[in-house]
Amino acid sequence: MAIDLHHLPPGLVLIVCGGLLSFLRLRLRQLTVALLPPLLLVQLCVLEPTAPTHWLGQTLIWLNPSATGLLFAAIFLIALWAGSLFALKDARPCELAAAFIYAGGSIGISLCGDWISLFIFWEIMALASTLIIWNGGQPDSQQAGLRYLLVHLAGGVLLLIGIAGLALSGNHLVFGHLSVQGWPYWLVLAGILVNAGAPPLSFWVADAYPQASASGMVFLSAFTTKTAVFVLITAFDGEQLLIPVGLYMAFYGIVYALLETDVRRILAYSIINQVGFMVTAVGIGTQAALIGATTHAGAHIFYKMVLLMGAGEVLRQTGTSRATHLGALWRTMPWTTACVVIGAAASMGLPFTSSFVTKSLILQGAAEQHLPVVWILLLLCSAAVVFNAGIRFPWLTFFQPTSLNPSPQQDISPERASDIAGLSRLAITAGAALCLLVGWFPQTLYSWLGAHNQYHPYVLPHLIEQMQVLLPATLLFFVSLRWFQPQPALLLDTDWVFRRLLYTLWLWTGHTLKNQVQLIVTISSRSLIRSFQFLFRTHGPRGVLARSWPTGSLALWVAFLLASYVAVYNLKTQTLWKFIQNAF
Amino acid sequence: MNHLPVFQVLLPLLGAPLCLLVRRGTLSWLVATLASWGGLAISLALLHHVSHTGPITYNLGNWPAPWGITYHVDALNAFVLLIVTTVAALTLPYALQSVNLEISEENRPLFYTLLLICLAGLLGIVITGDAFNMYVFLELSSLSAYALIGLGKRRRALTAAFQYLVMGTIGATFILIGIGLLYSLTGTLNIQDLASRIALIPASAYGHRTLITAFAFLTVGFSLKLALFPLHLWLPNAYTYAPSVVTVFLAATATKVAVYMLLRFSFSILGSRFVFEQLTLGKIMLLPSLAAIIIASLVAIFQYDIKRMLAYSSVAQIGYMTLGISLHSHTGLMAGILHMFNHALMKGALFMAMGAVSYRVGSVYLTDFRGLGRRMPLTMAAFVLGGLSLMGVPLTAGFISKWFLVKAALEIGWWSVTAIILIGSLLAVIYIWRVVETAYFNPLHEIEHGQEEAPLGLLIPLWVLVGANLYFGIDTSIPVDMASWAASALLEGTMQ
Amino acid sequence: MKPSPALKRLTAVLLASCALLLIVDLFSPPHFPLATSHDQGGLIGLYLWISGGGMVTVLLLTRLLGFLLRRRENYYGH
Repeated sequence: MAIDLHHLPPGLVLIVCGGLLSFLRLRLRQLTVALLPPLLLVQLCVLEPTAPTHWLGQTLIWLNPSATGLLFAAIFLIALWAGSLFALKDARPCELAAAFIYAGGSIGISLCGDWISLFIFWEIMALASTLIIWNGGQPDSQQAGLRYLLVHLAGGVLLLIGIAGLALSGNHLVFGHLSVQGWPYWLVLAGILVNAGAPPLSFWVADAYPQASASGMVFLSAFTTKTAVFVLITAFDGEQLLIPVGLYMAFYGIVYALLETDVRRILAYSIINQVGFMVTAVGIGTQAALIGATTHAGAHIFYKMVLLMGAGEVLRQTGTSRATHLGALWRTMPWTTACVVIGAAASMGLPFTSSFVTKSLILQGAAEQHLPVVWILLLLCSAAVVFNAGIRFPWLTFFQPTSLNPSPQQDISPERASDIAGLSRLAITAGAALCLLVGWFPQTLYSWLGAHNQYHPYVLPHLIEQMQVLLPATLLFFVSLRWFQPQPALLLDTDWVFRRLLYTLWLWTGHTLKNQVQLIVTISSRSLIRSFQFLFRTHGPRGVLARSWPTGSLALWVAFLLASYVAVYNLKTQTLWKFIQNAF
Repeated sequence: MNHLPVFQVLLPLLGAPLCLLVRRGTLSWLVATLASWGGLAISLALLHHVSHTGPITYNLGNWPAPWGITYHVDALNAFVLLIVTTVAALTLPYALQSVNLEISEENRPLFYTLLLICLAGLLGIVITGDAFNMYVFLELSSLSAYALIGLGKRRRALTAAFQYLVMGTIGATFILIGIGLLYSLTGTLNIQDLASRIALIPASAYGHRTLITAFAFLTVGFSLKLALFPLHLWLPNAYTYAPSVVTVFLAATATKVAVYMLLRFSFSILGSRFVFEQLTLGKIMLLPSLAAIIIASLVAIFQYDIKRMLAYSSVAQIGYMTLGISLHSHTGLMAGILHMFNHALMKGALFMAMGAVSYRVGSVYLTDFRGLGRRMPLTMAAFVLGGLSLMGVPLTAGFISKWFLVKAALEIGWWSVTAIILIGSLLAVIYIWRVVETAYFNPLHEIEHGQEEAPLGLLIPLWVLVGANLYFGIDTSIPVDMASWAASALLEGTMQ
Repeated sequence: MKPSPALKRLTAVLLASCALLLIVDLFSPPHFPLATSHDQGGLIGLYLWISGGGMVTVLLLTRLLGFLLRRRENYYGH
């Protein structure tokens, strides 16, 4: 059977191959990991929309790629490729398989054509990403994974009810700009925003991602939030509510990253910060802002991958990602440091790196819409990147003198770390190269998204402006260094409500209503035991309903049933009186 | 092409004595396998023919309809023929190794002979257009089934077979009495002829009571044969103690054929108007169906012998089929017919997995499953997938029939029935989970049992069925279309 | 903590670059994207002010929030 490459959904291919991946032998698995993403990347060029599939009365459109969707799919594929090359060294087969399924889900979403298939991929992503966290092997992986799963299942339920609402109110479920008003609209938006890391549930990003393995977090950073951004771009462009939500996320990321000690958690907060940018851009909704959001999502995926690969390699080498135990690694890990510096430059948006050409479009959008406050706040946020991914992360990990560490530990020695090597080195180098390439050829991206030669990032005023934003911030970073020394601590977040407030309330109720509660518990447990005993007595192996009966009594049953059937049938067709008359 | 309907029955019927004549176990297996594959090919051809040119009527020996025996193939029985022949064609390749272990050398030709006779009987019931002929084939299949069950290794197989013999004979006798009463009333045995003459009887006439009594006998007889709830008691023992192959074959075919007979008599002979509107069979059958779903599932939860557990689960699943029929709507009927097909797929797969486990371990008690997830990964993976289908997880075949059943219940606004269907699925989750937990999360059994994985001869048919479970869970068009077509043909009340 | 000499040097270099940028900005055309270029005079160092002043505010705020949000590591009992 010839496979129709024009209509074969790459997301499904990845999910199926991911499922098979854990069964393959090592060599074959490496080959698949190395070859499948680039092959699918080639396939993206020939994709065509498929005819709708009908399944149980619903219409599913697996493939209906838009320009934005294709770009996202390509970015996701590159991210998967680089991430899995980085992961091959020490990731468990199960993690790799989960990563492929996870990427398949997000690529499926970026190419799909209706809300139901979107929802199917959405849930696949939630499950696969939880698997990655569970395979993390960090101290809190199991618990954090469970919390992550609960948040995402809750988000999925919101989305599902929203989609059901759309269907019930008679809308077609084609995936595109949502122009419906009413509760389904807000539920769908809420479900998507949960995955974007929006308030009030932003905590899951920094709670769960760092509990994944070194390579696991590289995958996690690329897909969930950016897929949500893609859905927002497609369905909710111009939704005013997204501007405050996005700005909140951006500032939330800055504040928490500054107070955080664990470098991987700093990077997790920086994800929320940058996704905040994109969400704001979607809220602004002009062409410049949307192109900015799309391209910035790609730029962010690439540089965050480089930074996380750097942090992951540090974790592999030293066994820790705490800033209090790290520092001065540039001597022993020069290649990693070089790549991370390029990634960090890209994150700040230094000229000739990716963010310089993408983030400026978002600011341009705010300016075009005459939103001075938004513009100033976004400007401030791009300056503040210095305080998380831009300079603070490389400084804490690679440059800060080890003498500054308040609590150097004997068993972890940065001096003994060796540099990144093999496929991991290839992956991080490729990521760094992408960070630069996007900065060098912005027009290719712009014109793919329909803005041919409209925006020119490399003009003198823009260069001066960007440097004016970044230099004082950098200056301030070094001046304020002593006030923001890393110290081991836990940061309160909205999860406090679930993990402490409700828990305390529960204990408090138990304490104050001790007798009543005890009574209820006793009664219910006793009746539960009773009913179970009853079930076992009747249905258990020796129970009246399960034991083997003597054949004679069975025959008696048959006779009884026959009699009752005759009686019932007669009663059904005639009145009782007539029946008795006829009988005698 | 013209003689296909008769060859459908003749092929296994002629294969049976041939099996006995060749006398060698493997040779007779070959004969039986070829006969079953031939049967599958014929049923596919019949299905193709029926779906393109409409129902086929075949007069045996060219005797015209009311006098001679006719074979009649329409949407419903083409579908059931396909179910039976498919299961047979997959069971026989599976049989070779399983039978070599479980049946003694000298009994093997006999075993295949009986299996072919049973197959011929089941196919005959489905294909014939004559009520008395149907009874003859019923006896043929039942008698061979009793003997097949009696061949089981454990001594209790004999008592199980005996009990099945007594109960089955009562059932068949009741069916015969029912047919006899109908004959005394109309003077004909041809199904189409019967239908047209019964339609002429006015409700007030004396004959009406004969009709009612006939139908009462038939209902009880069919309930016995299809193991509807209070009359299911023969089934768990029969399925538990029969040889693995026999359990696979009977669980996937025999009850479905009984459901087919019920459908044929209710809709094509007596007419849905009489059966459902006057006698309200739907409401009468609702209670046993729901009881079967809940009680049999609960009983299954407490079983330690997993084969027995699956047998009780079969009783519950039969409840789903009769529930679909008793809803008396197009969707409900279609869900019932669809579940015949899907249940054959999933129970076939699950019992095949049981056969593979008992091939390696020797028995299928819950404690034998400890650590099997690692020792027999392919068999247990198949069991898990089959179990998922049984629970009705999306993307498996089981989901599709549950979906339509729920849809049918909601269409007429029976929320409580919907709730019971869902509770039944939850109970299935519990009893499947017990096995999965033991197989994957408990340490290996202390006693070393043999080699690791079941042989390929058992695994390939098993995985074909598992694959079918997944395939028909995703591409639903083939069984859904056929079930829908058969349901609308039945509701029109004719055999055309 | 005492700033090391290297850090002092780095700070000086950054300060000098900021000053240099201000001078370059003086001699380049105005580029305030929000207004329609009517405001020619008051733009000198606008970005410097937003970035520098804004960042100081954010840092103070963060320092303050730090007192509120920091808890010992086994706060949730892990």
